[in-house]
Formats: sequence, C-alpha cells, structure tokens
Amino acid sequence: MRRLLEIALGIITSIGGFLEVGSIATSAQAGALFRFQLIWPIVLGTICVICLIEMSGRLAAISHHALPAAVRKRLGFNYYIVPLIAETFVDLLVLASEIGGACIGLQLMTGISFQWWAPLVAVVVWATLWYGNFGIIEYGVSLLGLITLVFVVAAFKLHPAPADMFKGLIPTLPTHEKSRYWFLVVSMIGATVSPYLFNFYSSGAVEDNWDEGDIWPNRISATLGMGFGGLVSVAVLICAAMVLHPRKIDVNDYTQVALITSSPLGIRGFWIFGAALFIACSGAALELSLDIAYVYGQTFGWKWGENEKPGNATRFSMMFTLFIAVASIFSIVGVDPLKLTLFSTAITCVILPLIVFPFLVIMNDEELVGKHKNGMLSNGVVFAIVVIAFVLAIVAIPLELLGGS
Amino acid sequence: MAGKRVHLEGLLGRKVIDLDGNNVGRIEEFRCEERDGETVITHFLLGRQGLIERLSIPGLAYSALLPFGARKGQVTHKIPWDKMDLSDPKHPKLQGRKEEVEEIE
Amino acid sequence: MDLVRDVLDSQLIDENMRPMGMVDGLTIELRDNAPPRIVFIECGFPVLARRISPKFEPIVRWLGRRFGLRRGRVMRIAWSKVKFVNIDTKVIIDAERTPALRWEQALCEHIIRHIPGSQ
Repeated sequence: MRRLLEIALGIITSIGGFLEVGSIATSAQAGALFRFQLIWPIVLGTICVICLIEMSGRLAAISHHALPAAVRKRLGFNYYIVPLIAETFVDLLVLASEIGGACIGLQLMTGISFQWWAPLVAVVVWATLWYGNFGIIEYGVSLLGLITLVFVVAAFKLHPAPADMFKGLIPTLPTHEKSRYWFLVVSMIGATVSPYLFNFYSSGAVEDNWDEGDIWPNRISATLGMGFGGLVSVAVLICAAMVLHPRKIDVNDYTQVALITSSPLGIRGFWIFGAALFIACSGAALELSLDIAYVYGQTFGWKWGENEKPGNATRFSMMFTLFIAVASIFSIVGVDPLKLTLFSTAITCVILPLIVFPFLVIMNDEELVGKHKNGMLSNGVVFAIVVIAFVLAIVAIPLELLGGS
Repeated sequence: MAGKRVHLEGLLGRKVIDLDGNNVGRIEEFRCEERDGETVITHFLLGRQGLIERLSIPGLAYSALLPFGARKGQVTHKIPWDKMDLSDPKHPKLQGRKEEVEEIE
Repeated sequence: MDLVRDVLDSQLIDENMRPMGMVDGLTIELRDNAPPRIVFIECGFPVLARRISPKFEPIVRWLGRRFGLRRGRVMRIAWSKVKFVNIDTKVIIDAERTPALRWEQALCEHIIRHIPGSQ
C-alpha cells in the first residue's frame, strides 16, 4: 500500500513538475507557427527523458550515489571538468529564464513590470530552499504545479481534430520557415531533456534513501509521470495551434501566450495562466538552484542535502544562494525572458552529449548498479539518445543564428 | 630511485616504450594488493583495454563505443612492477621487450 | 584493487561517516627491489589543477595563498589511515580536526550562522 501511494505521488509530482518556462515557450511558438506539425519533438524528448530519468533513479537506488559523483568517479576529473563548467553556464541561463518566467507570471496578474518582481521571486525561491526541506519541494511545489493541467482543460475545450494531431506525431519536413522549424525542434528537445533533471532526480532519490525496492516504483512513476507531463507540453502546443495559428500570431512575448488559455476559458483562463506560469517556473527555479548545489557538493565531496540545515552543509547552501542571486540579475536588468528562454533551451542541446554519454558507462558498471545494470535494449536506447544528442549539439548553434530570432 | 615519490595520476595516460623503442601502450590502471601491512602496486595495465577495464564497459555498451574510437580485441599489456622503469616518470620504460610481457585480450 | 577505478576520484568519508572531500590524487613511493607503495591520498584544488595541466598548479596555489583558507596547501592523508575502499574511501580520521572542513567552518562562522533558520 505504501509503495502504491509512493508511485501515485511520484506520478503526480512528475506531472506537476514537468512543465517549465522552456516547454511553455517552445511549445507555444511551435503551435503558433506550425500548428500540430511539431508534436513529434515533444514525444521524442519525452521518451528520451523517461529512459534517462529511470536510469538516474536506478543508479541512486542501488549505489546510493547520484549522477555527478558517479560520473566523476568513473570518468575521472579531467573528463568531468568539461560538463561541470558547461552545466554551470547552462543551468545559470536556464535558472535566469525560470526566474524571468515566474516574474512574467506575476506581471500578467498584477500589471507591474517583471523587473520589479525579480528580487521578490529570488527571495521566495531562496527562502523555500533555506527554510524548507526536500519534501516541500518534491511534494508541495510539484502538487501546486498541477495547476498546469489548465492547458489540458483548455486543449479539450478547443476541440482539436484528432486526425490532425496524430499527423503531428510523425516527423515531416517544413513547407515554410525551414530554419525556424529546425530551431524549434532543437529547442523543444532541449527544453524537455534538461540535464538538470537527471542530477536533481538522482540526488533527490539519495535524499529520500531509495533502495532496491524502489526500482519498480521508479520505473512506473518515471514512465507515467514524465509521459503525462509530456502530454501537458503537447496540450500547450495544441492550444497555441488552435488559438494563435489561425490569428497568425507569432509569439514574441508571454502576453500573447496567455491567449491560449484566456481564449477558451475567458478571464479566468488569463489569471490561471499567470498563476501557472509563476508556479511552474518557480518550481523549476527551485530544482535548478538545488541542482547546481548538488553538482558542486558531489563533485568536490562536500556535505550536501536539502534535508540538512544550512549550518550543517554550508558550502552547499552558499552555492544555491550565490546561484540564485546571480541568475536574478538577468531579470533585474531587464533581459527579455522569452528570448533568454529560447536561447538557453537551444544551448542546452550543445552540452547534452556530455551529459548523456556517461550513462553508457555508469549504467553498465557492476560496482555501481550491480545486477541492475542496463540490458541490451536500454543500452541501445542510450546509444540512440547519444547519437541524437550529438546531432543536436552540432546543429544547435547554426540554427540559433539562422532561426533563433 | 629509492624513496622517490611520484604522483600516480601524473603517470596516467603516459606512453610506455620498450628497450627497442617500441610503443607498448599508455598506462591506464594500477593493480595493487596488500603485502606486509602496506598497499603495493603489483601490475601496470597498459593500452586501450586498460581504460576499458577501468570503465567496465561490457557487451553492447562497449560495442556502442566503437564509433567513438574504441577497438575490440585491442591487445593490452599487463606489466609487473619490476619490469617498469619509472626513474623518469614522464617517460616510463619497459625493462624488456614488448613481446616478453603478458598480453590480455 | 585497481587504484584508478576504485580509489581515485572517490568520495572521502571520515570515521564519523562525514564527507570530507574527494580523492583528488595519490602519491606512490618508488623503492629499490620492492614494489612501489602507496604513501598518501591528496586533496585540494592545486591537485585538480595539476591533473588538468601542470601549468595551472602554480596559479591555483598562488590564488590559494592569496585568498584561500588553506594557504594554497594540499591536504595529505597517510594511506595507513584508509580503513576500506568500496564506492567511497573511508579513512580513520576525524574530519573536524583536519583542514578539510576549514571552508565549511569559516562560512558557518562568518556568514551562515548569522542568517535566521540556519541551525
């Protein structure tokens, strides 16, 4: 019974925590420009993320070690320094985007410019981490994140044609704005397969003291939770395709995105969109801030853990404090959150191979995962993801230059 | 050479040459065991297989690395400590010929 | 036991199971007519810098002397203090009595303990 409850909570929190500013921005742009044609990158990204999240959880359950420590141990510091620097840079940009997204949510609800909200959002995120524990972030914030299901409700109310949607599952070549199309493909996969998710998930599993008995609950909640989470992203795309595409609205700021819920749900939809954006982005900001502290704590062997009092894990606590402070500067000085989001999701793809490749090594190491090491199928899937990641990394920057604006 | 201290991680990846100047491989691993209350290095593992052993990548995952430069069946050399000359740690030498040391498939 | 695979870059744990850094480096002693023996574990940024490139080590040591709490020095732990090696490396040492936690303690003393909710 306890396990069933854990699985149910795991699924719910995964759904609630899935959507963040990158998924919302890229799905909305994709729907507005290409209708249902770009559903497939969300599906592809979600399949990749399910596999890698399951492996991250399995690693933590068996070895009681999270991904960063395992990668440094197996591949050595000289390898790990590269993804460490890359991830610090990308996490900073993504965190700045999430803080910006949360501020825009508040701007939509109050009319006060997002820049003014940045210090407050930063303090709220920091205080939640400082005074809270892992349970609050895992369950509290993710449960609040269920508000993002408003996009699913809105999508149903818009009555999209099922046949058109199913066509979007199959990759097709664009007929117009080709570079924009491929840029969005890269950004959508980058927004879905965020490297921070794997570190955060495996570190959280260590904090929750997972063991061998958690392997199956992990499999089920990763698959269903992330799977349904992916559906919420698809719902954003459907709403944008039904509302923004017919009006030829090219998404240039988040106020236009708010139309996707206010059109089918009225003024309530507008308010809920603001709240959903604020909650989803704040939740992701919490995860990213913790992620960078986890990464540094595990790389350099500090005491770490959100369940520790800040005084017991001082370097860990200082790390997320500094990171939040620096990331909030982007919004304070007025960097456009939407542009920053699209840039950071594309840049995520550049570092993806560095993050995904170690799975091939770690998940076949008997010392770390024992008899639960990857089978042929899992290794084949990781290999395919590595290949996809390499392709995305190569094309991300040229596409950013061609189709990013 | 007695009493000379060397950073082990500085030896990692160093190319080892034999008496004839042939390349034997790169140092990838140090095998050690307990002897008389101290931990001593008994063998040096050389070559790509040494790296593969360190990373423990079997089966398909290993095959998956083939496009990234891994080679199946690459011969590795397992050199006993008394056959390795580390008097110049930057240029380790095999005290013998390549053919005389144990090969591991 | 394989030193690179099992020991290097593993988590160091003290006798109270407290994390106290990573095994950043290992030093061996070469002897005449006897196999090389492991003498100590090394921890610290200068060791990591040396691993990336020996050119970086003096820079990191200088930065450590200028701004660091360990004055750019490397922490060495005698190999005889190693209790066991599995995924982590456990040593029979109290981390509190070593320089390993100097930053942890200084941050607590000067910043963290002054913020409400830190303890």
